[in-house]
Parts: sequence; C-alpha cells; structure tokens
Amino acid sequence: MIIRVITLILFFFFFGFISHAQSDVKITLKLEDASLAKALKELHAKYDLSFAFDSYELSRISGSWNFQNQPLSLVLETLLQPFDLEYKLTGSTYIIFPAEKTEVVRSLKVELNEVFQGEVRDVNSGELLPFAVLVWQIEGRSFNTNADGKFIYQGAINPMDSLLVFFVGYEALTIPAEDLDASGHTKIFLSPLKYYLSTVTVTARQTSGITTDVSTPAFIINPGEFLSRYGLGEPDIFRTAQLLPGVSATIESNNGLFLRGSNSDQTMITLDGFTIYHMDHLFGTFSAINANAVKAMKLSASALDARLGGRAAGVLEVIGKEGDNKKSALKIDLGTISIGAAFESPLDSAGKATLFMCARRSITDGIYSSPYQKLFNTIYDGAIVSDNSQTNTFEGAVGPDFYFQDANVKLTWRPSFRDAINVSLYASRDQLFVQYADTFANETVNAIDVFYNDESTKRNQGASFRWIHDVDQRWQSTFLLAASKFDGQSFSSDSIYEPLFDLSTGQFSSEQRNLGDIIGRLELTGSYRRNKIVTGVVANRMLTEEKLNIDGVINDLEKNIAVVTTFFAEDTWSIIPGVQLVGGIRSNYFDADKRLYFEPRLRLAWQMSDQYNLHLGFGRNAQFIQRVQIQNLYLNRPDIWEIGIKGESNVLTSDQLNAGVTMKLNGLTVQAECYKKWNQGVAFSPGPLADPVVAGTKLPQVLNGTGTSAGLDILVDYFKGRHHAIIGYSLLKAVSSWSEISADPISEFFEQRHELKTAYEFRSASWFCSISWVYGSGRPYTRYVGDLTYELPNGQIRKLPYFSDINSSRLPSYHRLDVAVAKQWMIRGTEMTVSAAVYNLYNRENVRDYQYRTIRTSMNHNDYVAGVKPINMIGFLPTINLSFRL
Amino acid sequence: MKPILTYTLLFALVACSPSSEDRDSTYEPVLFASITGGEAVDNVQLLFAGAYPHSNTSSARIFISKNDEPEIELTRTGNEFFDPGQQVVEFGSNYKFRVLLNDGDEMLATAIVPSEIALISASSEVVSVSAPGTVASILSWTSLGGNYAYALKLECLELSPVLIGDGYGQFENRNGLSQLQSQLLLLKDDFKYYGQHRLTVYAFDKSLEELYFFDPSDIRGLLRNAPDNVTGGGGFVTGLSNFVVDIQINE
Repeated sequence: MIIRVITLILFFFFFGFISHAQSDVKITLKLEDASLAKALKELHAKYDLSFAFDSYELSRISGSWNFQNQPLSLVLETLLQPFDLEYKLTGSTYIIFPAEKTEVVRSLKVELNEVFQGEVRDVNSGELLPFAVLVWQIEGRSFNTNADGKFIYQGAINPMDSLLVFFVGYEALTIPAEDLDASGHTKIFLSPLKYYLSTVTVTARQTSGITTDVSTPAFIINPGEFLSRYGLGEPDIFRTAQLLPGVSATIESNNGLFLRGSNSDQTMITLDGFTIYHMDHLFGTFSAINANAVKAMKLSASALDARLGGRAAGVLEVIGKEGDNKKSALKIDLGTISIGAAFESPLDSAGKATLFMCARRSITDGIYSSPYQKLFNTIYDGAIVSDNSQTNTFEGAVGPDFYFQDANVKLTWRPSFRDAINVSLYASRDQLFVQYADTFANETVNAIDVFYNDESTKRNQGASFRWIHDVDQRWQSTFLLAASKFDGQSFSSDSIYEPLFDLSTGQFSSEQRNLGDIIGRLELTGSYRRNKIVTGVVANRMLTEEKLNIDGVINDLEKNIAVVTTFFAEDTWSIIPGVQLVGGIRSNYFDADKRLYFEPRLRLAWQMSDQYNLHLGFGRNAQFIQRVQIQNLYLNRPDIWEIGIKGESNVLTSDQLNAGVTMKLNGLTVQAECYKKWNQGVAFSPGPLADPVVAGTKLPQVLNGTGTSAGLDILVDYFKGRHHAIIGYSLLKAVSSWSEISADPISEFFEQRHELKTAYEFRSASWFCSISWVYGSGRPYTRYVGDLTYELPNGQIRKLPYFSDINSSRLPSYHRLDVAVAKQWMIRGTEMTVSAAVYNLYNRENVRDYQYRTIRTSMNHNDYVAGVKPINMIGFLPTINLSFRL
Repeated sequence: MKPILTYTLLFALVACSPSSEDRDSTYEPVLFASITGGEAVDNVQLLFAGAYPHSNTSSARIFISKNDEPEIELTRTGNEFFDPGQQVVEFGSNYKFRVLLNDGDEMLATAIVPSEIALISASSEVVSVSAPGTVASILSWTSLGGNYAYALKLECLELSPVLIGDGYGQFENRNGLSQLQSQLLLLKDDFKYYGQHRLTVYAFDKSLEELYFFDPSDIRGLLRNAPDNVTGGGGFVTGLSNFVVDIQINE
C-alpha cells in the first residue's frame, strides 16, 4: 500500500509541471568581442530570461552586437542566424540549437520500390549514429541504422509521407518524402539534445508509439555522462541499463546483467563485436566498460534478431565511440575512486579517419578514500566468516592492495563512401592482494587460527576488426573478426596455527582459469520489395582451461575447445501497412557434441493506431558456454566458465514467448510486456547447503536442470521539456529444477518477485539533478532453521543443524534512494563539470544474504551455538567527481 | 482500443502470476527412525527444527509399507510413533515411510533393513586382564558386503561397576566411529570395568555412516547442513540388524 501511495505521489509530481510562456520584451544590449554564450548570459541577467544552450560550443563563437530597444525575437535571430543556430521556446525557456541540416542534393519524387539509402550522423562531431530509428509517418513502416549508422530502405513510398528520424539523446527530425533523394546517398544530421536538455539515457522501446518497428524489439540506451555517473562514484553503463524494467537493479556486487529471470551469465555483452567476460570492477561493484568509451547500447531480450545468439536471455551490444571527425578533444575525469582521460581526434583533414582512446585507473592502491574504504569493507565483510561487528580492513599496518584499470582504443577509417573499417581494442584488469586472519577470538575454544595471504587477478583483453561494405544500393556486407581473452588467477599462501598442539603449518595453492573466444562473422543485409533480409555465417571458437598448483603439485586439470558454426537468415516482411512479420532461424553446429541446434525466431507486430501497437514473439536461444561459478573473494576463486559438453555442463536452450503492448500519448510512453521462458540445461553449482535427494550419493560439481521464468515488465516513460521521468515495474517468477537435490522446483536466487524503479531527471542550462528510488521484494535464500540431536546406534549423540529447502525463504525487501547533482562551467574554453552523488541516501541496510557459523563451546565439535550474520549491501555512500573537457 | 489494452494487461498479469504460494520456511519437519530386523517398529520420531513450534506436524500421520505392500498407519503418542500391530521387521526388506503433514505436504524416506547378521566366532568370551598379552578377544561375524557398515556398542552390565585402573576404557576412542570390517580385535584396555559386559554389533545401510563422521562446521567455521535421507524434510531413517556378545572381564 505504501509503495502504491509513493508511486502515485511520484507520478503526479512528475507530471504536475506547468510551463509558462514568456512574453516578448524589448532588449537593449551592447557587447564588444564577446562570446555568444556571454551574450545569452547577459540577457539572462538583465531581463531574467531563461536559456538552455551548449555553453561549450557557444563560448567558441564570438562577435560584437549593439541592440537598442529591439524585440527579443529580432535580437535572438540576429545573434543566432549567422552561426546556423535556431531557437525555440519550451515552457519559459529559450532553447538554442543548431539549425537542422538535411543534405538534400536534389528534390526528386521518390518512385515506388526505389532503394533509399543513407546514414545518420551527429551534427557536431560527424559521428555516425548506430541504431537510429527512421519511421515513415503515414505508411507506418520503420527501419534502423545498423551498428555503423547506415541504412538501406526499399519499398513503396508515399510522396506525401514524411520520414521521422530519431536517436536516443538527440532531437527528432522530420523530413518530407519529396525532399529525399532516392537515387543518391542521403546524409541526415541530428542535433544532440544535450544542447538544451539532459543527456537522455533511456528511450522508449523502438516499438513505442512513435514507431511501429518491432522488428528489433530492443532498448536503445545512450549512457550519457550524467545519469550513469550517479551512484557509486564511477560512471557505470550497467547502472543506466538497470533503470529498465526486466533488468534487476537490486543485486549489488554481482557482475553482469540479470535479465528477465535469467542468471547474469545468460546475457551476452559485446563491445564492437567481441565478447566481454570481465564484466565488473571491484568484485561486481561497477561495470568494467568505461562509460566514456560508449556511444550507444542496444539491449535485446526474448525473441532476438536471428543475427544475435550465444546467450539464453539476451544480448547487450555496446558500440564504442568513433571519435570526433571535425576537431580534437580531450576529457579528464578525476573521481574519488579512479582517474581517467579520453581523447578523440580526426586523423585527416577530410574527416575520413578518426581516433578515439580512453583509459582509467583506480587510485585505490595509493589513496584510501572514504568511499573506497566503505565499498571495500562492505565487500570484504560479506566474503569472510566473522562475527557481527563491521570489519575494517584498513585499520591494520597493511591495508588491502587493490586496483583496477581499463583502456579502449578505436580507429575508424572510411576510405570511400561505401566502406568503413573499425579496429577496436580493449583491456581491463582487477588485482587484489589482501592479508587477513581468521582467529575467532570470541570463541571459547579456539580450534584453529588461519592467516590468509590472497592475491587474485582478473583480466580481459579484446580486439575486433570490422569492415562494412556497401555492395550496391540494396546490399551491404559486414565482415567481423573478433577475439576476447579472459583469465582469472588466484594465489593463496596460508599459515595455519593449531593452538592445541602449538603447531604451525603452511599451505599454498594457485589456480588459473583461462577463457578464449574468437569470432569470425560475415553478414549480408539487404532489402527486396517489402522485405528486409539479413543473412550470414558465424564461426565461434571457445577455449576453457584450468591449471592448479597445490603445494607444488601442478595439475593441468581441464582444457576444452569447441567450435560453434552458425548460419542465420531473417526476413522482415511488411505484410500490409502497420503489420510486420519477422521470421528467422539460426542453425548451429556444435562440434563438442557433434549436434545441430536450431533456433527459430518469429515475431509479429501490429500498429493498431497512431498510439497503440501490439507485438508477439517466439524464439529459441542456445547458449554453448555457461558460468558455473562466480568469483568469490573469500574462497579466492575466479569466475569459472564451462563449455557445454555433454555429461558436464550441457548446452543451455531457452524457448521464449513474449507479448506486449505500447501506448504513446504526448510525451508519455507506456509499455507492458509479458514473457515466459522454458530453459533446458541450466547449470548450477550446488554449494554446501545442497543435499542430495538420494542419500549417500555424491553431488557432481555442476548440476544440469530445467527452469522456467515468467514475468511482466511495465515501463512508463515521460519526457517533456527539462523533465524526464521513468517508472519501471517488473513481476517475476523464476524457478529451476535439479533432480539431484530437490524433488520440487527451486526459486532462483535472483528472483525478485516485485521490483519498482523510479527515476527523475531535471536539467537546466548548466545544472543537472537526478533522483531515483528502487524497491525490490525479498529475494530467496536458504534459512538455518535449527538443530536437533540424534542418537546413533552405538549411543553416540550428534547435534544436527537443519536448513530450510534451498531458497525457500525470503530476505527482507530491498530499497534505496540515490541522488545526484552536477554543475557545468565554461572557463576559458574549458568545460568543467562537478558532480556529486549520494548512493543509498537514507542508509537502508539491505541484506544480500545471511551467514551462519558455528561458535564452539568445547573441544567437541557437537558443542556449538549458531552465529548469524546478515551480509549487508552498500550503505550511505557520497562521492564526488570532477571532469574537464578541453 | 482501451479495452484491448486493458484485457492485454489483465492477461499478462494472470499469465505471469505465480501458480502457487511460496513457502517461507521457518521450520523444517524432521523424521528420525531406526527399525531393527526381528523387532517391532517402535522408534519413529517426527520433530521439527526451528525457532518456534510449528503446527504442521501436530496432526501429521505416518504410514509405513514393506516392499511396496499396502501401507500401515503408525499410531502416535506425542512425537513418537509405533506400529500398533507390533509386526516384526523383516531382514533384507525395504520399508518406505510416508509422512502426511497437516498442509498436505509429504515426506518420503526408505529404510533398508540389512540381512540378519550373527556371530561366527569369538576367540574368548571370558577375559582376564591380569593375564599376559594385550588381545582380549577376536570376534568375527557375518559379512553383508560393501553396502553396509557396522557400529559397535560396549556396555557394562554390572550394577556397581568397579574400575580396572588408569589407561583402561579405550573402546570408545578406538571404535566410536562406524567401520566396514566384519571382524573386531578387542584389546584388554578397551574395558573400563570388571564384570559382565555386552557388546552389540549393529549393521546398517552405509549411508548412515555420514552421521558418524559429521562435523557441523566446515573448515571456515560455517555451519553445514546435516546429512539426511528424507525427501520433503530433514532427518534420517535407517534399518538395522544386530547381535550381542556377552563378555566377562575378570581380574
């Protein structure tokens, strides 16, 4: 009930803004050799006029003006027109933005079934915009730019129609059909919304009321700079994605994305085509992909495009920034946890080649900032066995030695109008050295003292080469060669002291897990009549390797290599205006078990009216590699991925059905989608609390089972003027069955039955603020219920602790409030931004799990009492960041 | 259009709503039973592990069936159950336990009763601790194969036992855990008292062996789940076969 009231209050609060128009005023102003930004600031100061503009760009434009009692409209035209700028009044604010540029070489009427191709670019940097959406307003047909920002369209075009072009975070543009050139290559330029609005981070699904396109039912996300920054002191692209319904936002310290009732390893994350396995820094605290390096993200779930595969739940395609093709820029970030820099530049005068590179490194091994100490202690406290007191690892003589770093480089070269070549490189690393003692000082009988020295490293290197070639006006080819190398190493040297015998021993172990992933892909995209066709082949070679060294004994335990060869084809057929049918198939040959795996995909979309559309989809997704163990700080074990080889961890297949409706009403988009998944081959590492159903049997390291998840996702997205509000709700039930440990289905640990997310952003010309609140009902856990004594046949007594069925109890509900504020200044041509964020403002003690341990009361191990410790998630955490753009 | 939207949302809500109530377990029903070949079923306990008493076992019923024959319902007294017909447990048979809890949930377990075991030989049944040498007696009994383990229980039957002396009474230390061999070497210092003693040898399904070696704490001090062989709850049911040997300890 309380949640409903809060939701209603937030809802009415968001939509209660009333804008007031300003009347025209007479202006008297004289400025000599001043910047345009200064002129607007003078107008603001003298006449209390409100402007929204890009202070960085406008501070670079200068001139002299003298206005004597002239109307404001004339003054603005005089100021702006010479520089191809325009204004418009929204509410009480004059918004300044570049004049729309649509390169229209000739005005020709488009003939039926003409091929119409082109590209969509950022008007400032000239960067191509991947996944931009183009919609014929009357006809209702829509299409996208590809990952390279280009599009091809073929079909009947009504000369009276107009084309709506939009991309997340950019001003939408409408172009009359008669202005388009069907025989040439059309360049469409979009202006970033950041000129006058927040860097909007989340768009409605592409199928929202604006467009009928459900051929790619995906969310497009522009991580921006602000919304993604608030939180834990590091810009985090995952935190932005977690605003979407269906993406869990309450599971802290877990890497990856939990998408629609699926474990995080079932969401593939690719960066410019190569797979990212190192998804997090600081043990799951934030994303390992630098937000500065990301141009756009596309999150696809359920019935995927046929070109996408490899994971059961979905794919997050991250497209790296190409860099400005007009001018060089340098950005420097200084944060409480890391420092970083990004550089972009054209490499030639024609703007055909660009370079983008960025890097960041934590300062955690040099400066123990308060937020870092708090973060590390929270993670550490949850990883060790201890009493209820809050552990402070920084109190001792030697603090933990931890750092992370990552770097991205992207080179783009467009040798001709028809070719584009990208080379993208990525490297990331987390390294920790920590010493600690398990002495159990509070026990009556101290059985054993262990002094741990643990060192762990986690690295991922990725590279891709991509060549996009326009074969002709109708067909485009993409060739991709990508590789990713991921390895986790852990080294431990422990000293064990037994007080009873005054005996000290040492033990040493090291473990290394390697994962290699190489992808070769050739893809053809084209259109024919009312059909858009995508087809291609992919070869994916995967390697997993395990090496162990225990007290000097070296074991090369396991090395598995497998190749998946895939052919895929998909046709998007516009049956009648407003109705699209998409049929596709992926055919995979998996050489590890010499079997063919088919993944049929089918989607239907119906644009019922301008405001409503319905869609329905079915698809099967196959996953050939699964993560069977997540990194564990306490056990000093790395992530373990296993190739789906029969008898070990099987190939995971997931059949998925989804249906949804979208409603668009004047700035308000409401989407609701329900889904159901049936999974086979779900890998599970049973852990210490799992009990075999058949007594006396030994559980294998990995179990294979079945699972179902069903849910409903609702997104309410309101976007008007300076205000952007999002409300997301998810209902989920996710259970899996492993016959070896339970006769009944087991709730998955990530099953959040109800999750509500609200976010509100506001931005003026130089101020930005955001507030978000997340609520999640309790997740499952395994509860210790008590102990009983049992007399053995020979009269001995055993005290037996009993736990509830696995994941049959629920943790307390999760909620937290985050706020962020940022302010921008222009100082001598340098843009400076200071942002401050508070994570978990009211310091809610969210519980991730409970830890139960034995406190011995005598030397007999049956004499104990159970100690219970809640493992808390991150509490109140203020952070501050500073960035400069030169 | 609005009705379509409304019905779609309603359909989605119904389609996605959970099909059954989740259990939020604050207790675990636990069944303990050991049935011995040649004796009646009378040592069956239904308990709960949990912070508070739970009513789910208050009117629970237990049924038992031998080798898939028709079930017999056990009679309850408190937390304990017994067979009112006092039928003798048959050696070498499987006995299935089915517990019907108040809420309709079931617990299932099977006890395998070993074949009958018997003493084959005992080198001595009267032992003098003052005699030279350390071996008191060597016993061997019927071997049931690798799926069974054995436990030993030594009792002094004297009403007023007299201690032998320091260093005597090592039986528990040497034979407290279960063992696989079907023979036993009894040493003189195993005995703590003079007088009449009774050694009971139990044979049981090997799965029970886990309980002999069970340590509730793992190497890190975390609490471990107790081993059990009951589906739908915790606990342990086991079938036993035993014999006794009386040994006299003299000065």
